[in-house]
Amino acid sequence: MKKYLALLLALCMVFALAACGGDSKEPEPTSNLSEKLGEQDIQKEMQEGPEQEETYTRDRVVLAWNSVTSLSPWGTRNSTPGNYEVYEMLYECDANGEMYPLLADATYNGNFMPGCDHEKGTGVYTVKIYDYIKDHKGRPVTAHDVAYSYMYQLNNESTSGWKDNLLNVEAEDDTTVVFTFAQDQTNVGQLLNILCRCFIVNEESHKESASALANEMIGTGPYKFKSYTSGSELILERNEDYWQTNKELRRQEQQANVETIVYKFIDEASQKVIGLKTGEIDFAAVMSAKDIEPFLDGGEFADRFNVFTYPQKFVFNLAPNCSDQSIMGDINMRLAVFNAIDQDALVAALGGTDTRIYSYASAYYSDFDWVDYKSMDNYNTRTSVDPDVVKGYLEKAGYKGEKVILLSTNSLTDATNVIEGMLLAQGINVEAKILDDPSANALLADPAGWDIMVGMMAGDYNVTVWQHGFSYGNTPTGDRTMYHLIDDEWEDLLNLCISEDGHTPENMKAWWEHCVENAYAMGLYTSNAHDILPEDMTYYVRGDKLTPLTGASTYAAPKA
Amino acid sequence: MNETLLTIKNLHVQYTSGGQIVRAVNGVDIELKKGETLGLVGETGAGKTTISKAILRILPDPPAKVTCGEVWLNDVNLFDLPAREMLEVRGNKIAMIFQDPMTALNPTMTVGNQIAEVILQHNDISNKEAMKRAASMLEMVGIPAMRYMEYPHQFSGGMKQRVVIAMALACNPELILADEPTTALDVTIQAQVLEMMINLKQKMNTSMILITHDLGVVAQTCDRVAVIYAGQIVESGTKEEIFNNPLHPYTIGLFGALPKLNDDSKRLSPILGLPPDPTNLPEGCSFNPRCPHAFEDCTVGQTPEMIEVTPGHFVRCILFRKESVHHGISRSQTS
Amino acid sequence: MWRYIVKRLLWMVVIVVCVALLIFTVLWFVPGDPAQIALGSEATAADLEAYRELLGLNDPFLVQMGRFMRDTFLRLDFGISYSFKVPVIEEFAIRLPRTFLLGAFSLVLNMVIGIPLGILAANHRNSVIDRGLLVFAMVFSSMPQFFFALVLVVVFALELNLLPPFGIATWKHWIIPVLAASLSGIAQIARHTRASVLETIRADFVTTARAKGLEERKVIYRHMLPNALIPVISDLGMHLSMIVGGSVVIETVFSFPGVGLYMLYGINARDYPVVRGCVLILAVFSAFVMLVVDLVYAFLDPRIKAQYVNYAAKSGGKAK
Repeated sequence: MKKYLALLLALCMVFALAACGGDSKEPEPTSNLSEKLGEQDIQKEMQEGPEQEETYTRDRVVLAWNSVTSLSPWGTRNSTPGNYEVYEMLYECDANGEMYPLLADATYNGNFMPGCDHEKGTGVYTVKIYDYIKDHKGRPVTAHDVAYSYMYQLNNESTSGWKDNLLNVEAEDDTTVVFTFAQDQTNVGQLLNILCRCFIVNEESHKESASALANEMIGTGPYKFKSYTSGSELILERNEDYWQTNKELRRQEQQANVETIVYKFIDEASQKVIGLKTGEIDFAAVMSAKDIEPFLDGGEFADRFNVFTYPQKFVFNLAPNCSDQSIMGDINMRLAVFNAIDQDALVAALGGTDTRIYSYASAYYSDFDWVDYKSMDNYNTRTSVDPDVVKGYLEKAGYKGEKVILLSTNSLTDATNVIEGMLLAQGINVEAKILDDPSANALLADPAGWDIMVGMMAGDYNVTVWQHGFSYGNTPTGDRTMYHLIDDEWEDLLNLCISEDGHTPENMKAWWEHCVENAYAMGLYTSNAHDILPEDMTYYVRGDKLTPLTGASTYAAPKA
Repeated sequence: MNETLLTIKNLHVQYTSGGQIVRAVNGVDIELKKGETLGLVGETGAGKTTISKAILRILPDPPAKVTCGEVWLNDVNLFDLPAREMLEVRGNKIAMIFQDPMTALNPTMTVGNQIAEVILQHNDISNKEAMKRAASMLEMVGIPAMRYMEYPHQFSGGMKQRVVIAMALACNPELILADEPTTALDVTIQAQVLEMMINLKQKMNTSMILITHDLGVVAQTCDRVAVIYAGQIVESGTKEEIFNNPLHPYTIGLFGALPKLNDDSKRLSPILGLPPDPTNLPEGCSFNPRCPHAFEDCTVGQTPEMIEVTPGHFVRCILFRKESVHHGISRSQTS
Repeated sequence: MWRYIVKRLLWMVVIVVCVALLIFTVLWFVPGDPAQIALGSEATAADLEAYRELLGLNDPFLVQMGRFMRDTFLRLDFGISYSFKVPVIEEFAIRLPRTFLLGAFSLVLNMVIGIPLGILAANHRNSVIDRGLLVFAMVFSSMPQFFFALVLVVVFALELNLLPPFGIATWKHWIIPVLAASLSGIAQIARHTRASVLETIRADFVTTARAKGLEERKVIYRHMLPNALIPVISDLGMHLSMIVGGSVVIETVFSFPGVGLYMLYGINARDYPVVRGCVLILAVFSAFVMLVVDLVYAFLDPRIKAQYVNYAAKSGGKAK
């Protein structure tokens, strides 16, 4: 009797575990999810802009945020929570990617752009700032502090594209800052990468801070730092004494419509959902499609939340190893692989909430519409897979069933599994290698270690996405791409596109055509992100890099 | 001097193990006088330890059960006593000396304190007084009192047994149940301990039931002897009677199996066969499968009654019924 | 006895030094570049090189190891975390007490609930209580921690709305994490206690104690328990070490900012100072817990104490 009971319990446990594990492999197709998303009213409402009349000041907003390790404002890739609320830059980009002056004096009609003078052909840019900026300690922030901040970040922190480009930043007087570059910043996004990628702090406040601003925040923005419990929460409160007292000049992004903003650090997605449901959390950013159903219209919690859907900046792509040490060095193999992928099926298999693309480019970026990628006829525009075509290329390549290594990272596990299946179905003997980020990057550098990579790339424009992926400058040797390709003609085309003057539809089309002719890369799909907003948020403001600015957003007064 | 101290009437004890019933003790009657030493002799598994544990009511209750019987100490039936009062008997009026000294003491308590504990339990005195008495008990068994604070593992086997004896005698009990007290010791120590026990017993006029399988020990220390087989007493009498005139075939076999110094024979003469399976005792006399004199009547019915052959000398064997003359046995035939 | 403690402490130092060398070497060979992670896949080679230079990662193996050993052991400086930008020691000073408290509360629960449960089950052997305990022990020993943690959160926070689901703001926030962390320990301790009690209760000295006329209560508490609990003590020590060292799951589920999460970030970001610091501190902690357990053993069991004294005596002078 005891033995039977034990056996029964063991069987139960086995089944339970199998059920748990089964979930991770196949995401359930939520076909009606994309329909539901399309029905969200909130997107349309928010296109119109904020309400004109006096907005209600909400007492408190609690956000779920992934944990961070420090509150440091430094680094061109800074993602500290509340960074754009507590700190400010000379210029910032709005949600559409347009640069606007913030600390730079918008009333100064510079010959280059508002707040900035520049002699074309030189590497010198002069920026003028307001003379009444003060930080949260009450100290005035002058051009000297701007120079200090830039030089500190250049010499001590992680920057991308600054070394050997930005030579010096100096204060000419209290309100004038001179930037000296190695050359004229004519490449697309190059100046943005400097002027919009450094927060300004007061030198004394920085030096006075015991942790050098790693555990506290002293900036100039509409919110100031209140408290921080490492790994637990960050609390900001409204800055009553904000320096920009001129209402005309104070933009929507600089508003403070919430008294207290609380960032709660939660990594576990299910805990975020629970937090929203119990009311511990008011806002959560970048939730996956699996988690948002209860919050959509008609869902259990739809009366307390709205779901805001927007495209993300990532281009999910397939990049083959083009060196001669890999089987993918043969163009026929590459064409075989690319033609074996059914992009629409891939998107459907991942839940149907992503968007397939027709090139290595995303509609998210402003230079997307310049080229009509969809009308071209190549492997990236197919709507179905023709096995004979694939077989043809495999024969031409003389493929005998050799192993093809498909490299990827943990966050792309689902997509990689689907792609692996598609390639196997066409007789390509592929083996997926899914590693954590550092290990994947280490393997990437070895031309004999992998054959195709499933990756995600981002930038500020489509052309910078291309640059990040295929510029020679990304490798230590500087003579090949990070996927081990050497094609100087293509590299020249890229350099042409990246320059301010060469950033034209014709050049971009030429680059893509060259790419397709040689089957160098393929764009798979772009993803949508979902932010969950509290019901009373009437206009959702986002800042540079689409950072949620809940303090700057507007709210409706509670119904009496 | 000759009052009866302990009377056991018709004691039956069973063990339940894995659904089977083990009949450990099957109708034992004992009478013990004050100051007397009774030796309980028998093979391992005969039920001797069970009897002594049953007297003290410390049999492990789920498997073991006393199904029948009475135990009278002076005028009190111990089995009728409420548990609380039984506590006052244990260690105080009746004390037990256990077989294996190596495990009989608590390893985490000093020997002195273990003796003092039993003194304190049964006497309303101060701790200090108890410690003094415990120290003097140690001296009495030949252990220097300054070893009071030492732990059991610091003593040899023989000394541990002395501690156990000191613990048993500490409250001056009327009856000692000594369960093979010297079996685990080597011979020279054995002699010392036995002598000590005899002296103390005489000094305090304590009665004793000495359980053993060693006939030599019996010869040295006992007044009366009872032989146990398969949970029953098969023969009982004075030491002289049993040694000089054993009657039951089993008893004869026991003595016959003893090696003799002046014997030239190359082999020992054991009793043939094995002790019976206690879950499945033979019908009739339990000894009949192994008895050289068994006949048909031995294998049927109940076990035989005890028959008084000579005054004080009892045997449980139908051969000694007045009726059965043609199978009379004498010692000469079997020695 | 003091000699024994001193000897053990000296050994602890040796072990910690060996652990330090080992973890440094292991991290050296693990693939992954901290600069790459910090700067992202868009970084140029020049940026990466500059950042590596900044972190001192370009020096040869022995130089870096020498620097690490010198800083750690001579200056007690565990370095500055690449990603937290705060000295590892400082972050530890904040996080270690939290994880340690989690471990301590779990330990208390293990003792206060686990041991009595085990004794109860042993006393009522084969009854409903006993069988129930065995099933409970089997289920909770095998159930993965995060599963159980999430179940607790769903039941108490979501459905019943009694307790907060994550964070550490108030004492209420600690209830579910402590419960989740201690349940498997309680199950195992209860089972072990039950087994030990069942074994000890048959021991001869327990029968002796009863034969002395002691009340059953005294027999149990004075004679049986001190002997039965000795093996359980070692279990408790091991559990404490496991909880403090293995709290990652609990900390992730409950956003509990302790050492576990700290180490996890460090590993994912190849933040060498953090990983080294965590491993070393945890090694010291575990060694210390083991020493305490052994000392408690000696306190409870004089035979063990004698063994230690013998071990410590140089030329057997004190041996019995």
